Parts: sequence; structure tokens; C-alpha cells
Amino acid sequence: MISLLKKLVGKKKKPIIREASTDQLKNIKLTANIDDNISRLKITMSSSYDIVTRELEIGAHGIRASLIYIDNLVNSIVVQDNILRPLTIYSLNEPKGPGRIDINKLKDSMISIGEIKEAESFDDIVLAILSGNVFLCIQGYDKGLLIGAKYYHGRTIGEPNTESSIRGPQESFVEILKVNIGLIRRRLRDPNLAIDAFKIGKRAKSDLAIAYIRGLADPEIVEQIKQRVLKLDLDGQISAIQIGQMILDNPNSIFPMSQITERPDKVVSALMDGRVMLLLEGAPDALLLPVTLPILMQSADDYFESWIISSFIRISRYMCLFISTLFPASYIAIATFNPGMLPTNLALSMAANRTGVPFTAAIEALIMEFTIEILQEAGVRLPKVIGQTVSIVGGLVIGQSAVQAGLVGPIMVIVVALTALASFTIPDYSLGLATRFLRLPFIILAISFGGFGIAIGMLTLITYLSSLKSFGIRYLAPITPFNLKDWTDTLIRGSNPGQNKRPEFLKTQARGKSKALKEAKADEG
Amino acid sequence: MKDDSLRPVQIMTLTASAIFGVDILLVPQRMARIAGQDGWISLGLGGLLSLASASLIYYLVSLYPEDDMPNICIKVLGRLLGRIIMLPTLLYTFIYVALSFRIFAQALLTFLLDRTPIYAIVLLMLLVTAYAVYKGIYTMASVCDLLFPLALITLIVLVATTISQGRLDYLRPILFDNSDKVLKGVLPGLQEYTGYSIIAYIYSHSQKGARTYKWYMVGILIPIIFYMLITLVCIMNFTAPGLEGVLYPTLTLSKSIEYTPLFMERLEAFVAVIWISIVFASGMAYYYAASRNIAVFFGVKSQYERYIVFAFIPLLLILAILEPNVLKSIKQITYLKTIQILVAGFVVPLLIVITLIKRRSSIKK
Repeated sequence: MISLLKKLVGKKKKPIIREASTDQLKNIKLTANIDDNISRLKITMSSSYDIVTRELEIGAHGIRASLIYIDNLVNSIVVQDNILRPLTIYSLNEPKGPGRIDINKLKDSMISIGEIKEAESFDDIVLAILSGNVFLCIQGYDKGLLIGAKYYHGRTIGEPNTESSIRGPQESFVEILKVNIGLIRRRLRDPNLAIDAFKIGKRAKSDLAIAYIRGLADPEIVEQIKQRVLKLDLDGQISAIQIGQMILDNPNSIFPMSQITERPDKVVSALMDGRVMLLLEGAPDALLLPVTLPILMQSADDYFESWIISSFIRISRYMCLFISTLFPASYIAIATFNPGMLPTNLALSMAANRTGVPFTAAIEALIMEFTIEILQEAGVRLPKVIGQTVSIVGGLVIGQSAVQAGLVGPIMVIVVALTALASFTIPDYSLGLATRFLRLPFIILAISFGGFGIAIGMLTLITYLSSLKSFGIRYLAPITPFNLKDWTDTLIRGSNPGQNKRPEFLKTQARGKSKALKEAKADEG
Repeated sequence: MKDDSLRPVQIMTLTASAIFGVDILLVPQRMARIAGQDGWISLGLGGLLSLASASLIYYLVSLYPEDDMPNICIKVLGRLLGRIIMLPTLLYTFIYVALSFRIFAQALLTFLLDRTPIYAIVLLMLLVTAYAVYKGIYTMASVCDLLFPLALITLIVLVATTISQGRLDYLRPILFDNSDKVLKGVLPGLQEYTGYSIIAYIYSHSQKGARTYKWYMVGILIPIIFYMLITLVCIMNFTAPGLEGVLYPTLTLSKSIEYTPLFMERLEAFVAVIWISIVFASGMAYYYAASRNIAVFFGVKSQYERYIVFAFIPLLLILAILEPNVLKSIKQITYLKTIQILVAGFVVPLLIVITLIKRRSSIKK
């Protein structure tokens, strides 16, 4: 009776689907029987429909062989012309032997493809097939050939979307790692450019490229990045951004602790400054490490104009950083706590504008900030076609109607609009988001304590920023720890002679730009 | 990841930041009361003395490049005697934090926030300071790096805009029948610079070398110059007898700035906001010293040391609001500084002598 109840109550045992783990596969080797090999390979790869098995006979003796590959990952023209044709047709001309063929001869003089190697263990073979290689397996041999015929469909190289610039190169990364590496190599023909590849994720096994210039990048930082990447234990990731979040020193920081870019030119100049790049197959985002706040405030356009103009623009951008974070809070503090600070006329006109508004300045600011947040978020999500309509409607709702309806004062609209605009001048999108986030705590501090609250908030923020580190480099370097030599590309952008130096704070090994290369060449010579 | 060490320039900003602070609000009034229109001369003489005393402390800590003051006390005098000799400094640094925030909160009430309860102001200041100390000495140095230029610019603007309004006549007669008062003002003058002893806590983290000493001296010279300037300007604006009735002359001075092209009309609220950062930086240095003293005194393990900084907050808050009369608080802070002068004048030479004797005898052995 009890056992019957137990049976009723107890969970039904689910059928176990055995997973093929790489460790198990490692010990399994190919056998001489081709049918065994094929069926085992198919089972290992879940018998998916897109696995193609092309049976064929090689040579005059008609030795059975088989090509196994995944349909959408290989270039079918290459397979036909460079693998199938020589194997089926040309092999007939081979002198008749004792019923065996020389596998080395196949490899060396028949298959006209650059990337080819022998394989015998299952883990290598499965991974290779899954990454777009063709596997040739021959009856009577316990070795097969892995032939590279990868072909990925992807979009063409387009213009950068989130980091547009007026001048300079207009190319951006795509989803294919090979193409992206090509974009970098094309701009940087330095034999010292080292690109190390790692497989990321137990399931995804995507390629992660770590690039740096030997002799420039601090070897300690490079080693540390590699160590942390190797330690990662995960199924797989979509983009290098996520890898970045896992290997950083301060994963909870609201400030971006890595620089994300889709511009190859930015990557190249970062590499030449001795920084390290991470790029994952399947995503167009390159990750640059280490990073500091001044680096995030640099824009590509800064380097294409006269240094005086660029410095002016950059300083105004830094001011925008403050406006974006502090402007609404300062307005509230002055309007509610110290209106006496303002000149009498301005204070009077502000008061006149606010007559009839039912809310306090604080509530008014919170409402308007929230509206702007809605608009910004809607702008990102909406399809491009509707986007314009919404921005007009939203703008009108915020600007005209809210004021006319007497819900908010016109000055508040100016304040909030200016703040939102200022946040878009920040070159790094994530940094802009951080300022957007910080606005709210500052508004709350200003509501409760006025100017004192803002000062306290600012001191906390400064302390927090000073404590941040990106791979041993202080986030505010070279502002603090102060390094005058590096200021040529911080708040201002120095004239070109000044640009000829690499930043010292990144612990770059060679400081002079062209000189170092000359010395290195002299050493080699 | 290896941590960097404090650069010589950072020693300068840390020292200057520690010396500035709430005292700069009070200096002119205090000095004018003691030495009249010649108060600035006393300040200068006191400054010279402070340079000498600072060099002495620097010499002591350079004998122990790996230790800071509390550790040196224990090393030289043993566990018990070292703790006893440490106690006055411990109390001084600890109570100073509370009192300076208390005095500053009163100034804020007068100039910026008139309805906020004083404990809220002190509590917020304490929280931020504790947070900075919790983040460690290198972060604190970076914060000082950022805040110091701000303080310097404010002071320069303040002096530059008000010096033309003042009248030179108020400074006269210079040293006429007043030399005894001026000499009497030298020790109180020295008291204003007691923040220089911060070197005893930060030297072990610095890059050692002659440049460190040079910048340390610069870090003391800058406050000396600005204290003298501020006192001069205050006397020129308010006259020495008039100054005695002004509690926060430096802030009152900023009230008189009216610069119409700027869209701010009355700058004193703005100056008060900037002053928050100056007082914060100095409080931070003292808070750090206090936490180091307490950690060594009670033998706190180094891994817990950074967490105990938050434990002081309630006690400091009570200390701060215990005394409702701010004038008494100001008096108390002056007494406290006397302790520091005694420590710097007697304990430091004593420690040096004992160390040298010990080392000599060990060489002989």
C-alpha cells in the first residue's frame, strides 16, 4: 500500500539524456571502420539535420570515404571545387596500388586548401566540424583530415552607429572576428602586434582574441587579463562586454571600467598607447583595457582638428559632464534654499515664472526628469520609422504643453532639456548612463540639504572615483595621481609634438612613439 | 595587485589639506585678539617654528621608514609605556575631528542652511569622511589632489578680490609698542599649523627621498602664506578691534564680494559650499590619524582595521553635539592643540633620543 502511494506521489524519473562532454570525447579515438566513426560523430552532435555526410569513393580501387560538415558554416563552392573534385576525379589517375591510398599524398598534393591537418581524437574533430571545418574520413584508416573551408555569412562593414564622427575613418567592426582582426591588421602592420586566441565558454567555445603590442603593453597587465580570462567558468557569452564585466576589478562600479568601442581606428590607437584589446567572435564590440575616466572623455574627432579647437571642445565636454550630473540638483538647491545667491532680477523672474505651478521645485524636477527618462528609453526601443514621430510628440508634450497647462515652470524645462543634451555630449555611452543615474541621488540630496547635500554627494563621488582602479591603474589618472607630462592629452589635447608621447600612467614600456620603434629596429639589426 | 606609494606632490597636498580646515575660518579673529593688528606677524613667526618642529617629526619618522607614529611609540617605549605616551595624541586627533565638524556645522548654519539640525550636518560629514578613510590612504591622497587646487583657487580669489577693498592704514602701526603681544602670539600661531604632524602617519606610505621632504615643507609653507594673507586682509577690512567681534571672519569676508558680471550675486553661500571640501579634507586626515592610533592602541588586527572607522561615528557624533555653545567648542579645540604642541615639542625629541641611543648601543654590541 505504502509503496503504491510512494509510486503515486513520487516523481517520475525523467529519462536521462546523456550529454557529450569534451573530457569524455578526448579519450575516444577514431577507428578503422568508417561506419562506426560516422554514426558516432552524428550521435555526438545530436544527429542534427544540418550535418551533411557526403559519401564518396576515392581512387581506382574505390575506397570508401566520407566528408562530414555543417551545411551553413562552410563555403560549398570551395568544398566542391577544392575537395570533392580532386578526391573523386583526379584520384582516378593515381597509379593502381595495393588497395590503399597514401593519406599524406591526399593532404599534400590533392586537396588544394591552405588549412588542413590530421586528426584522430573525437574532441578535436567535433569542435572543428562545429567551427566550420570539413572532416574527411576514410575506410581503413584511424586518422582523418580536417580541412578548413569556413565561411560565415555576416553583414558588411558599415559606419559606426554609436560612435559616429565627422572626420576620420568611417568603418566599424562587424560580427565576424576574422574580418575585425583584418580591420586592425590593415591599420597596424607591426610584427609586434600579438593576437592570442582563447576559447570561451564550455558550450559556446567562441573565439576570444586578446590583442596587444609586445614591447608596449605592460606585460603584467596582459598576463593578468589572460589569467582572469582563463579562470572564467561559464557556458558562453554573447559579447566581449560581458567577459569584461567578469574580469574587472570593480564589477559593481556604476562607471564603465572598460572602454567599449566599435571603431577599429580607436582600437589601433589604444594598442599603440600600450593598452590591451579583447574581441569576441560574434559581436562587434571591442573591449579596451585598462581604462581611465579621461580616456573615456576623448573622442575620435578631437584628433582631426587643430589642437586649440579640440582642447576647447574637450573642456566644454568636461563641463557637460558636470552639467549632466549636477545641473538639476544645483537648480533645486538655489531655488529652494539660497535664492539670495542669484542677482535680484534673475531671482524675481524665476519666481514670476513659477507662479501658478502647483508643485515645489523639487517635485517639478523629479517629474521632468522622469519624463526625460521615459523619452530616452522609448527612443532606444522604438523602431526608427516611428522614432521621429515620438520625439516630436514627446518634445511638444514636455516643452510646450506641460508649461502651458501650468504643470511645470519654463525654467525647469530649460534645465532638464539642457541636462539631457549635455549627457549626449559624453563620447562614451556607458559614462553618459552613469551621469544619468547619478542625477537622481544628487536631486534627492539637494532636496534634503541644498548646497551642502550636493557638496557631500560630490565628495562621496570624488572619493569613490579616486578609489576605483582598472588593472592597477587609478581611474582618474593622470589627474590624480598627478602627472603633468600626461596632461597633453587629458583636459586639453596637446599640439602634435606633445602627441608624440605615449601616456606614462598606462605603464607603457616605451614612451617616445616613433623613437621606440627605431630603437627596437636597431636592436634587431 | 601592488599598490602604488604616495608621491612627493601628494605629501604636499595631504599636509596642506590637513593644516587647512576649520581653522582658516577662525585664524584671523584668534590672532587679532591676541596680537592686535600685528597678528599676522605672530602667525609668520609661529610658522617658522612649525617648520622646525615639522622637520623634527620628519626626522623621527625617517628613522623608521616602515612604521607610523603609533607603531613607533610602541617600538621605542614598549607596549605599556608606548600606549601611555600615545594616549594624548589619540584623544587629540579623535576629539579634534568631532569639534572641527561641530564648529564648521555652526558656520554652515549661519551662512548656508538655517533650518537644518546640526546633528544632521555633522553626521553627513562624518559619514563621508569615514567612507574616505575606509577606502584607504591612497584614495585619500587622490581626493586631496583633487580638492587642494579648488581650495587654493578659492583662497586666491578671496584674497585677490578683497585686498583692494581693505585699507592699509588698519595695519599700522606695525610692531609699535606691541612686540610683547606679538611674541605672546607665536605659540598660538604655531598651534594653527598642528596639521603638519600628519607626516607621522603618511610617511611610511610615501616614496622616500629628499623630494618628499622638500614637498612636505612646501605643504606647510602654503598654509603659512595663506594664513598670513587671510589675516592681513581681514585686518585690512574689519580692523583689529572690529575683528574680535566676528566669529567666522573668512566667511564674512566673502560676503562682501560682489561681482556682478558673474551670475552669482552673493558669493558667501558658494564659498561655504567650497569650504565643505576643505574642512572635509582636513577632517579626513585627522580621522585617519585617529583610526590608526586607536587601531594600534587596542591592537586591532590589520584586516579589520578599515572596518572599525565606521564604529567611531556614533561616539564622534555625541562628542560633537555635546556642547551646545560653539564658542566653548572653539576654546576646547585650542586646548587640544596645546596637547599636540607638547607632544611635538617633548615626546618627539624624546623618541628620537631614545632611538639614537638604542641604535648606537646595538652597533657597539
